[in-house]
Amino acid sequence: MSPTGGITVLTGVTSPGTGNETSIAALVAREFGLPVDAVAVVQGDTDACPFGFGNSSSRSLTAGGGAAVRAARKVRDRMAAAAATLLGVPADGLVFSGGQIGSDTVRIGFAEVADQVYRNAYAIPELDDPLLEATAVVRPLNSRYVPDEQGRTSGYPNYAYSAHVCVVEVDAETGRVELLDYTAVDDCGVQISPAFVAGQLYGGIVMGVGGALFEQLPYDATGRPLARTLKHYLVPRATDVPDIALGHQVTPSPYTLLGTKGAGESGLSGAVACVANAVNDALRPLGVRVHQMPLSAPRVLAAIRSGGAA
Amino acid sequence: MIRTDLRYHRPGTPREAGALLAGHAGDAVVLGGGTVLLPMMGRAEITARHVVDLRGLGLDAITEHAGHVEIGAMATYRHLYTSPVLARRVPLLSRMAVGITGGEQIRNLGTIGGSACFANPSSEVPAVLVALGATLRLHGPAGYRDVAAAGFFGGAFATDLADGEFLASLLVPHQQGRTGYHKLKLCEGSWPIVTAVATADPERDGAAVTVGAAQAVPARIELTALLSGDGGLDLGSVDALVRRQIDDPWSDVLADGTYRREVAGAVVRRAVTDLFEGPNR
Repeated sequence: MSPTGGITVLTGVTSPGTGNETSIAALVAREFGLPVDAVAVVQGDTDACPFGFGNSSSRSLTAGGGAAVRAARKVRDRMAAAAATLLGVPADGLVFSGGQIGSDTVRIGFAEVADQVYRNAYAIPELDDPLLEATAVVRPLNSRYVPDEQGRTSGYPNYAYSAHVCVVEVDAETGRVELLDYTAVDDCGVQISPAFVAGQLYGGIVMGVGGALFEQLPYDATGRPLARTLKHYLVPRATDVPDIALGHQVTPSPYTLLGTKGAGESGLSGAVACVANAVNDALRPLGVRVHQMPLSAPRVLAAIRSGGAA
Repeated sequence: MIRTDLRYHRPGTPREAGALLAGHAGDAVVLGGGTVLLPMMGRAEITARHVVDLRGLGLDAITEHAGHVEIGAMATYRHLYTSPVLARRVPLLSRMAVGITGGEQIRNLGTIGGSACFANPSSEVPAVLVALGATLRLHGPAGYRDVAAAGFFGGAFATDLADGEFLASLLVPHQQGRTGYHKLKLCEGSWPIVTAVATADPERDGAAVTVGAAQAVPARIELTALLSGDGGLDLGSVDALVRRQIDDPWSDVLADGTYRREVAGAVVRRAVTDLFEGPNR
């Protein structure tokens, strides 16, 4: 915290473009009762930020967000103690809200407390440490790095929890698969930023549709890639995908500080199987199946024409 | 990024353009819309050192004449689908242009002339031009010469254009009868896999289909023998006929020849159904 009450979070978790910097800012702002734009988040600067182990396994908010909240609470406790001294009231029960710290009867500006801590700490009894910084680490309680009696470890605190349903139509004459309808329900625990949860699901599902139906990287005999443009490496465009209906179940994790379970993997991991299962369900009356990804039109047609021999 | 050292030319007259192309033959490329050429130069798949831009020649007009429409080689897909002349006289071209994907950027830049000269087997323009009986007007050292579309496409990515020549315009006869059209793509972003233009000639009571993307060059298949007396067409015989005609199918990374040959019959049937039952285009 700066002497003017500005907050900077130096976090070891990076953003892969999913918006976790915005969520971290919102989480920290909430701890201080401030608007989100009062918080700056610095990521990816290895000179400035603590080591963070990277962004993986849906851990950016569970670990990085949790650590930011824990650090914010340490600073908030110091702010509360300082405010209590300046107001002459007990620290217990002081509320951080609307840029002020106080109770029903007395309050003091948030920035003024920061200013007093940095400039007057040595002049005010009981306010002797002019420092409003904290570093914290959070680990999810269900990861296990020490082997149990059966030798098992688990570095994964979060798994993708989602259910997917889709409707496809297979053109029996061309093998082309049309995606007609798609619904997914996820449970990422507590949602910090629902718009980002939905965004990750939409993006992940469409990526899964691409993997299931279109995307492949063939090579020629000399190892040269044959799909060198996006007219040859096919990814879904907007018109290839129906409106995706999303639903959410929210079951807070008992093992993480914020109750989060991670939203990053629920879209992709269900979508590939869902689309593949739907295609094979459509082919079932013909007694054929297609296994190899992607389920491209030529592969699907080859399965249809095999008449069950494949 | 284009890493080749190159010289950009913007001639102001057809003669100047022809002289540049002749003078740098083998080392010059014609820039139309650039939607295919420039990415290929960026990938160093083309390393020509002279780029001759046709923008200075004013070749984007679409002009109605008695019996035919002249389309400048630089007319973009947007020019095509917004042209009232084409909507009235050659509606198949309007319809084809509307179906070009890639967004407004592609439709505002990509040209029908560029697509014809690129002669990608897996594209729409060649077969549509052949089906419409279009003529390509080329400009070369000796002036203009006209080539029928059916003779212009010589093979995959190969045309009748000689050194020093460039495509100036396309002459497309007014559509007389109806057409039916069908395009099979693997998904929105894919090049066409097989296209078919079905045409009916009311004057001689005939029907034909021009199949695109199935072979290196468009294949025109006569369907008149399959016409039935009641104004319909014997669809049950189409697949075998098409399979016989598509005997050297085109293969690329999107679909091999076996697949194209397998689906060509269905694509033709759909174009024929569109011809007889679709909205009257």
